[in-house]
Amino acid sequence: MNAVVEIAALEKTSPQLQARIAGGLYLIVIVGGIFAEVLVRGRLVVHADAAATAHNIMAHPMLYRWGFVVELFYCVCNVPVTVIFYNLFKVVNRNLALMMVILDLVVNTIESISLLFHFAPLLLLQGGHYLSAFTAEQLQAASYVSIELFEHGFAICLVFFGFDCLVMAYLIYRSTFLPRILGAMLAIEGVGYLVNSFSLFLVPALQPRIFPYFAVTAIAEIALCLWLLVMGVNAERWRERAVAAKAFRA
Amino acid sequence: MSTALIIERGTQVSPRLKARAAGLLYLIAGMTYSFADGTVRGKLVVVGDAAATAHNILAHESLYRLGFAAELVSAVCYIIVTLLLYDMFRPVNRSASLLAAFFSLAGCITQALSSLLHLAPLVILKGGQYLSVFRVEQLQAAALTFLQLRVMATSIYMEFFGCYCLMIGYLIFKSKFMPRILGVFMAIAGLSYQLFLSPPLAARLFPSVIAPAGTLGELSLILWLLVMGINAKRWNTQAGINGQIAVAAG
Repeated sequence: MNAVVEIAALEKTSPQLQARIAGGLYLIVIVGGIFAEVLVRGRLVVHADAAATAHNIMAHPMLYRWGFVVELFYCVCNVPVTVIFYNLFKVVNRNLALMMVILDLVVNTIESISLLFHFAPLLLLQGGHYLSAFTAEQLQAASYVSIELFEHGFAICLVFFGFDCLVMAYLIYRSTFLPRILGAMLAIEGVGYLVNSFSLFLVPALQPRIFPYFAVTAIAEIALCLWLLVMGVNAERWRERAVAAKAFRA
Repeated sequence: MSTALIIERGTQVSPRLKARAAGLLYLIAGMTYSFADGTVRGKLVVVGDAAATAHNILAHESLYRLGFAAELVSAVCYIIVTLLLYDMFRPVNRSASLLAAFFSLAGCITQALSSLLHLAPLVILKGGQYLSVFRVEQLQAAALTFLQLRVMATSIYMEFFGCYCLMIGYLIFKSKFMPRILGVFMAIAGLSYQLFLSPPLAARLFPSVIAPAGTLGELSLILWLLVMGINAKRWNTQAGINGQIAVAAG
């Protein structure tokens, strides 16, 4: 009786609804990520060609700005996703759920600040008269350096995201209220992110060759997002875990 | 319910083992950081000489990249240390332990981000054809400027880590499961890191004051955690007493 009352107080919003909200917000993050990375930077940034890249950005300045705004917005969406994941997974293992929150926070902060380097080319290319101290080619080259710094900043945040995926994979695997296969897939994705980032840092020539294989593993995140949105969590099993966690702490 | 309870119990790790894990990860974080900052940057960066620095970086590119990766590994390890120490000192004072963790987290994120400034010289010096619009001397000067900004970033995160060491010193002093002298050493280390508020002063006093004070405080804590762990019985007593106070306070 006592435990039931406590659980009722604990879950003000049902785990099922929380999972669906997290799934919806997660979908914004994934779609936003594809927009910013593939449709904006993928289309406008020409590899190793500063002049062509600058030309593309100046030809589509609004698209480039939208890439920045959308990415910043989904970083904000990531915050409630993290809080809901903590709520859902703290019944599995409170310390690891806390670890997940901390890693998420690091990922989000680094990604948000790195975005400044995505924005900098606009300042350099559309800059005022004071920038006439540099030639147009120099400003284009500086803009391209800034985009490269953004890419490296993004790769840094993916190192923490890789570990984040591994922690979350374990939590899902042990959860009993989400399918284990999602955990296994997420673990593979986590390793993929780590291999991708560290190869970019240590053996940059190798990275473009392994990237296509690694990109496939991102299917884990899409699967998790859709599962949460469509199926939610197994609320009955979640309550069992919540009661057990309460009983253990008492 | 009973199986869930057993799972929950299975995921609980003894406080002594957690203390040892914290000591080991703290040691790895310290070693990887001193490799990146002392061995790699200390050897390759020539203060005030952009051409020599650029030459050194390009001549030892693998070492330079390894230094970057080591610094990221250091940040990842220290985040886990932060979580383990938060958990360890929670029975002493929950708010103070949380505040300490926030300080450390701010430091870890700043440090992870500042590693981008370590990578920037490679982007500039190894950049493609598009950078030929700058003279070699200009690129070398820009590369050294990034490394000088990297040194400034040290001042920022050491301020946060200084506050962290002070808080950990206080928590050790108030704890009943670790020797008080370790707390005093940590507080002295934390105070010495406050010298980073003035970068010129920090540069002058680093070998004579900051390095010995920091090493004494942090290394003695690492060794104590690693070799002695914590007094598990006293930890359980303190956790139990404060748990009862929390229950009584409702």
